[in-house]
Amino acid sequence: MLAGLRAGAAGLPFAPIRGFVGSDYLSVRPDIKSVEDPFGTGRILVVGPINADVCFLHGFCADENGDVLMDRLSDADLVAKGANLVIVSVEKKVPDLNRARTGSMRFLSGLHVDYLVEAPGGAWPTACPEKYGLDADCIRSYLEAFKQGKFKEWLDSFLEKEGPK
Amino acid sequence: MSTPRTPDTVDIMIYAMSKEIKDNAITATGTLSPIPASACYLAKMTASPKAHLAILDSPDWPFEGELEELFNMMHRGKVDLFFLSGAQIDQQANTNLVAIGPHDSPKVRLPGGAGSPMVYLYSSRVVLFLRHQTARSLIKRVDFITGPGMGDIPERRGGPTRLYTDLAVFDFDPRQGLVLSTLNPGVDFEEVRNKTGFELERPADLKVTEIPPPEIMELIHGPVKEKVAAVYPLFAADL
Repeated sequence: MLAGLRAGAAGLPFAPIRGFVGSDYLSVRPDIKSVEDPFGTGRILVVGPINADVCFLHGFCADENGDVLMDRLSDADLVAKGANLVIVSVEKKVPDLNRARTGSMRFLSGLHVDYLVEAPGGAWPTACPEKYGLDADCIRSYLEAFKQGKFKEWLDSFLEKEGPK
Repeated sequence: MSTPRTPDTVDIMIYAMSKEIKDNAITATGTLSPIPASACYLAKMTASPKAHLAILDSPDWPFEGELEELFNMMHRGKVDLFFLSGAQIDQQANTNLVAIGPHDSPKVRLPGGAGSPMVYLYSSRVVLFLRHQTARSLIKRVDFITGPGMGDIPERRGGPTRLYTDLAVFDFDPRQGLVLSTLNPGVDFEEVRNKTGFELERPADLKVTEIPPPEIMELIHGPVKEKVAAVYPLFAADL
């Protein structure tokens, strides 16, 4: 998946990958193909590019340029870089990001961003690292409602709630 | 003075697995791996203070981004050890994280293999773990090979070396696959045999997995618990 996202972000037709030989993936994944390495090291597997139609990404903050500071431990910026439409929500809009990266944040250039929304708590019920954690009770209630075919009722009650703690 | 705590299966697994971790080498753990993560922190506090750890989702993750740098280093042969599990593990040490039943109409759709089909070939060593060994999780043949354990794969750099479960420790033999090595304290051979989905041979000198001594128990339930809470809060709360 990483290799496919990387190829998608770079506008390349495929990317070589390591491993997967000996697994059952090759019989169920038509997007993985074996080719001859033109540099003469033998056969190598390649995957096609992944270009999402729409990428939704939630970050910590963003400025007027659409420049975003997001979780350092995420590779979601790769999804954005290869997507055809990028919608970013952030906890907070700031006047000037000034590219002031702190150790725990990753910079995503606004050049990749199509739309920006200020949405405090926008990652909820999943986590926004260092801001709020995963809301396990809320996710459990979603799973339960989904199983009973009551997603719409769950969504209505979710939208009534106040947001992450 | 408080009564010393009696080690349970999780303590036994953490202590045994901590001995796999080497100084001056990179050990990495992936998603849903609280026992390996605890073993890493314990090793760092005891026998392997110079171990280089890459514990996914931890505040001390040593890379920018999620997995790309770790996988690249693995491609280049720089990662010594990775801990891997599966919904099914078989006698040949194949793992399955894709589907129970036929791939296209599965009984259970699993989360997917993520990096494991690469990791299994490119990490110098892979140590397997299984939190609940049953005749349905440790079986003769997995429904879908996600990580290939045995077989002649030219690009294989490393591969499985051992399997730790809540009942026993298995060694990996390149010809026979998984073979019983030690029984965890309080577990007898019959129980392990009943909870193994393939024919199990009783080794001539079947020993018992080492029980964590009191000073190790203090570390596990003190500083290790504290470290692991930053990654796996629910697991740490139960520790």
